[in-house]
Amino acid sequence: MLLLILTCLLICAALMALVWAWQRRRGVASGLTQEKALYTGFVADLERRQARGEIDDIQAQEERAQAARALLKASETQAAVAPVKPLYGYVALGVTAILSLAVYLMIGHPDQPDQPYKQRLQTWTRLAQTNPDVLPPLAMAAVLRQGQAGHANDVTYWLFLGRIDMLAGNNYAGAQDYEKARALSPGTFVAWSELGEALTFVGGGTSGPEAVQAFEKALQRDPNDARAHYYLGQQALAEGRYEAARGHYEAALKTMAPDDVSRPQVLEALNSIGQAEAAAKAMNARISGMVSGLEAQLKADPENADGWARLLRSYDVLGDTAAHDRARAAMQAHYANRPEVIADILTKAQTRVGSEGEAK
Amino acid sequence: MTHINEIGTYCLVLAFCLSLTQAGVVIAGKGRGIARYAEGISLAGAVSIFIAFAVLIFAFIRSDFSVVNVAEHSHTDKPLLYKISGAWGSHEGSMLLWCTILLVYGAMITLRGQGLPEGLRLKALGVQGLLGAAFVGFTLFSSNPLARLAEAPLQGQSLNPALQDPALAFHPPMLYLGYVGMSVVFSFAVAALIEGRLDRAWARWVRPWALLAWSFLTIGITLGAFWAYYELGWGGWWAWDPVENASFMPWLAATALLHSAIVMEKRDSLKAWTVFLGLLAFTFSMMGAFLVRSGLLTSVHSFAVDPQRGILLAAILLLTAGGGFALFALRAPSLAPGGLFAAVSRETTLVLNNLLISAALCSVFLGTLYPILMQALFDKTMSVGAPYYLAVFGPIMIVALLLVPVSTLMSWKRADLKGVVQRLAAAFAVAVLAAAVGSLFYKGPTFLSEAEYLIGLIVGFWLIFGTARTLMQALNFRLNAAVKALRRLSGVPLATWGMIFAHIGLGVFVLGAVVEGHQRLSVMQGMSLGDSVKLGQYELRFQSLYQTPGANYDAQGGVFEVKDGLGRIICQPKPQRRFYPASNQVQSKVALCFTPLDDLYVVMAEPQTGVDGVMSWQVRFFYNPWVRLIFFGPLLMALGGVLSLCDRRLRLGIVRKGRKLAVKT
Repeated sequence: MLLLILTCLLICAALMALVWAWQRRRGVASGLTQEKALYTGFVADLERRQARGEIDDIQAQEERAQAARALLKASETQAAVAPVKPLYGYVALGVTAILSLAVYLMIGHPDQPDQPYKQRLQTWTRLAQTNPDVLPPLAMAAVLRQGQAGHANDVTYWLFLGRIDMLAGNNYAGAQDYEKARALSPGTFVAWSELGEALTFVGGGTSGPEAVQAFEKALQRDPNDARAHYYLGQQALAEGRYEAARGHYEAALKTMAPDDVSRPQVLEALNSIGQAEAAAKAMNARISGMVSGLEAQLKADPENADGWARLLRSYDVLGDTAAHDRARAAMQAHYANRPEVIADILTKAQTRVGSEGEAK
Repeated sequence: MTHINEIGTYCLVLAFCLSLTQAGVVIAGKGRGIARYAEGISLAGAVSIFIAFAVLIFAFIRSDFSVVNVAEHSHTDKPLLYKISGAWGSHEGSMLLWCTILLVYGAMITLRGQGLPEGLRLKALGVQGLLGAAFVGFTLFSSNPLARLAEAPLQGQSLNPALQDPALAFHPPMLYLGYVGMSVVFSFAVAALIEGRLDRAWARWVRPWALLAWSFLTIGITLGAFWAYYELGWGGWWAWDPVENASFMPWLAATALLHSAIVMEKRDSLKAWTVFLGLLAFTFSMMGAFLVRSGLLTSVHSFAVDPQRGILLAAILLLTAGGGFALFALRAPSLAPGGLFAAVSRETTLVLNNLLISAALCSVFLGTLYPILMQALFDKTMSVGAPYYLAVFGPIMIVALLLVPVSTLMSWKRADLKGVVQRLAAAFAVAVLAAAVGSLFYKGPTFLSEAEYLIGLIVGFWLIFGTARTLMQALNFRLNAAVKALRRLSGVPLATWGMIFAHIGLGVFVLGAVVEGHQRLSVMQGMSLGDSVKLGQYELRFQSLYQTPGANYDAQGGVFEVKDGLGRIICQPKPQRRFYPASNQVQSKVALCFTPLDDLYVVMAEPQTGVDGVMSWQVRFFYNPWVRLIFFGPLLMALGGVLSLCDRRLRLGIVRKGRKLAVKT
């Protein structure tokens, strides 16, 4: 802290010296002398412009008169001006220096040193070697990442780094780590399974096609992988495939030890299937009612392109292929002479609700 | 253990105290003979705040997350350029940039203003000191960019991906060099009002500063428009967004100022009006800062900050601008009206130009503030968009632009209108002919649209050919003595070249804006691999997908192929969707096909899976004809400003050199 204060004082002194040096360099020539020199220059420039024909004689005369008036005014006012008194200047600079230090001590943090990332990483590396338990996962991940070049082909390294990244909440980095582990050792079910889990986290809890594929690959390599069963069950439940979901949850429970911490979670998911099934049935009944109504409406008044698109989309959502084909045929029959309307309806029917016209 | 950040904080405090002292010694007055210390203090203040700014940049480069600003706007994975530009990517950092430029301009008055009368220079430094104290004080006490965190986070939150772009790295510094450059004009205006010294010399001293700020502002606005064009992926370059307008208003005021200062310098007229514009230009700059930071606006440009800071900025705006205009109200009646001129003269056309630009400025001002006032007074949410500006701003500017070539050929005091009309007749005829030919290629949706197009083209070509006629006049060009006239090219003063470049640049811009605005084509369609879409004579085909890692992002891109009507491959645009893990954000990256004038512009939105399980991407495909001119024109204008600045008469500090010359002879 003392060193910091000394440095601040030194900077302050250097800047005050700059002020002093500038003042000395400027000298003590009176304002009037300067004004004279200034307007002499101004008139010289004026004459040069006049000679080059850039300004006419009248303008030159006017400007000359103006310069003379300004000089006259300067000579009147300069008489009242006192010469520079260095003492007042020194007092002003001294007060500025003291004020700056006082304000700094009020709002600054002289006890807080810099914490550049490189330096912190060195500290974490030392801690990782001596007392790794105290390191938060994000710091541990940063420490481990330093060694990636040396472990480019080390599956264990990438798996471990992936887990640390996941613990640190860096799901995307975790997925990339597992992806490397998987590429190095495609036969290891853990790499696939953990990759799937990381991708699910990246997707905000939804297993996308890549995650599902990773879980399926994991199960191909180890059919008892509880993690893959659990997430596939979750995905099946979300898609309304209740039997598949039940199968996956039961398979997961079968492979789990009785004291496995994840067991209650899987059990809870299994128990929720019935509830979800009942809710889905009720929903489908409601949708079917609405869709039937829409179909009847279109039968009565088929000139409704948006209605046809909605109807086709609804049958798609309900998975009723036969009804979809029937409605499509009716629509095509109605618009037989207007292929552009048919194309428009089919495009609209294939667009998910809410995805039209993405913002600029 | 080092304390570089703390040294930066101390330097910021010191800069604040030095600004206070700078203003203080001038106010304390000549009576005590210490006013001259303001000069050295302005240099010390600039050095001090420069150190503080360098420390902030260093903290960003070192990823020192114990600095709040760094923790909130940086990340270790960010490329170096964006680590550095992150220093002004936040409200706090950009305020420090503003203050740094403000104090450096103050130092420039000391260094380059030795040719100015001492009283005027010291008073201007005093005003600059007050402005410095206000802005550095605001930055230090309410928006400290070097504020510290007791517990530094393990990683930073990174910078908004949309800001990680080279154009935006340089856009704020350029814009601020323009905004804050107006503070020098403001300070000189206030100083002149206090001194009661407003003559031709004052106008000549002020013009280079206004020109410098105007040139930077022109470049800054152009960079911003270019960034909005290719980074935001909406195909446009100007949306009349309130924050865009906030940068446009000082530009308009500065443009009017540059022209009225010419009249003041040449004819000793328009003194009060020129000073008023000097005050106005910086007031609009400060208003821009207030609008962006007060939380009043929701815009892609605005910094999300708390309203308390907005109140503080409003207070600074009211005190400084209010003080300046109050002084103006007191002193303006005593300002002699100056030289007389006839109704037909260059002065008259420049006055008209000023009136029209001011009317245009008022229309932008109203359009910008009206929604804010409606919201504040009646809790009504509304927006004022392009139709308003095209209907109100457009016609005013058309008249102003039509006057430009006429004005440049007019004589001072009394002009021969008939002679000017005769000299410009050929240029006008060529402009109309070129516009008529250009209009043949445009079939607008309405007659009004076609008329707009034709008028726009006439204005653009008129500016170019009319200005070319001015150059011919300067060269005393005669067809039978063309070689002789061309030899005189080197004798044309740089200021004249500057004017010619600026006016031609304006014409080029108008042509680009008119053609792009009327002939732009666009289509948006969900496209899967192998799909194609037609736009005018072009066909865009989605060929393949690719993945590529970036410095701090992973990109998924599409490879497209554009063919023209003859089936020739024009280009292969590769737009991207970039995922930035640090901020968990996705940014679309536009692909442009470069042709000399036009752009083919492709942007991909996020993928979606259709009910048939096939992935598709919403793809926007634009054909923007002559869009290059929109960005090239303003660059020509800025070049014109720089050329004028290089003119001996306008060079900063030239009078000092003149003095040396006089002493030698």
